[in-house]
Amino acid sequence: MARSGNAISLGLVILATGALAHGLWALAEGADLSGLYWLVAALLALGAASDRERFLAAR
Amino acid sequence: MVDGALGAAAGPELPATPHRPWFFQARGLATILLPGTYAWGATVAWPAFLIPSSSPIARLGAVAAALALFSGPLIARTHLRIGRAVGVLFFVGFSAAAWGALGAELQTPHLDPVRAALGALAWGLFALGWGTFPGRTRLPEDDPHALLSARLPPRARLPPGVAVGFAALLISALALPLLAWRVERSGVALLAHAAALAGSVALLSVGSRVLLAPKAAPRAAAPRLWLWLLGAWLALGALVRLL
Repeated sequence: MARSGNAISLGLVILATGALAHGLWALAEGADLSGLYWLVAALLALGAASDRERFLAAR
Repeated sequence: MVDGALGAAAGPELPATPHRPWFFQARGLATILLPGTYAWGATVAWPAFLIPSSSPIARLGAVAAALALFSGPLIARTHLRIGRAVGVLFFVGFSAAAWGALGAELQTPHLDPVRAALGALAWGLFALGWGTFPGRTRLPEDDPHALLSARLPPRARLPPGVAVGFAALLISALALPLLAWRVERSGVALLAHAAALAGSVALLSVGSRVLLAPKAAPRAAAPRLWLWLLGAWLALGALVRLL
C-alpha cells in the first residue's frame, strides 16, 4: 500500500467502504435520508479515487 | 519461482509432462457444465419438476434449458460464437421462460433459501466458466506462437501489504451485499441490494487499481472535481447535523 505512494486514493477507497457500509446500515435501521446521504458520499469518494488513479496511470 | 530459468532460456526445452489434450478439454467443459448443471438443477429443474402444480410449459422450458446447457459447449468447440449463443443466451432464456411459466410458485415460501443461494453461486461460476472457456480447452503448447522453454522468473513481486489490502478489499466487497439483506422493507431492500452490488463491484475495481498503482506517483495536479464535490457533500452533511 505504501508502495503506491498514493495515500489520498487509498483513503478515498477506505472512506467509500465505510460510507457504503454506514449507508446500508442506516437503510436497514429505517433512516432513509441518512442512508442515501452516505451512499451518495460513497459514490463521490469512489469517483474521486477512480478519477485520480486514471489520471496518474495515464502519465 | 523456476530455478535455472535464465539458463534454460538459451534454447528451447520441451515440457517434461506429456500432452494430455483430453484433460484440458474435459477441464474446460467441466468449468461450464458442473456449475451449470447444479444451477439448472437447483433453480430451474427443482421448482419445475418437483412442485406438483407447475405448468407443462415450465417443464418444457427446463428441458430446453438443459439441452442448451449441454449442447452449447459442444458446439462452441468448433463454432465458438454459435456455441456461446446457445450455451449462454438460450440456456438463460429457456430458464427465464421456465421461471416465468412457474409464476407464483417461485414465491419465497415455496423456495428453500439455502438451495436458492447455492444456485445463485452456481450461476456465477457458470458465467465465469464461459468467460475462460476457449482458452481452457486448448493446450498452451499447441499455440504456434508459444515459447517452449522454462518459465521466466518474475522481475518483481508484490509486497505482502498489497495482498493484505486486497484481502480486506475482497472481504468488504463480499460483506456489503450481505449487509443489504438487513433491509426488510421491499422497495428500500431492492435499492439496498442494487447499491450494495454496484458498490462492491466499483470498490473492487477502483481499490485494486489503487493497490497496484506504480510506486513513483508523479507529483502532478490530479483532477480535483470529484474531491471538491465530495468535500462539499460532507460539509453539507456536517452543516445539517449542526443545525
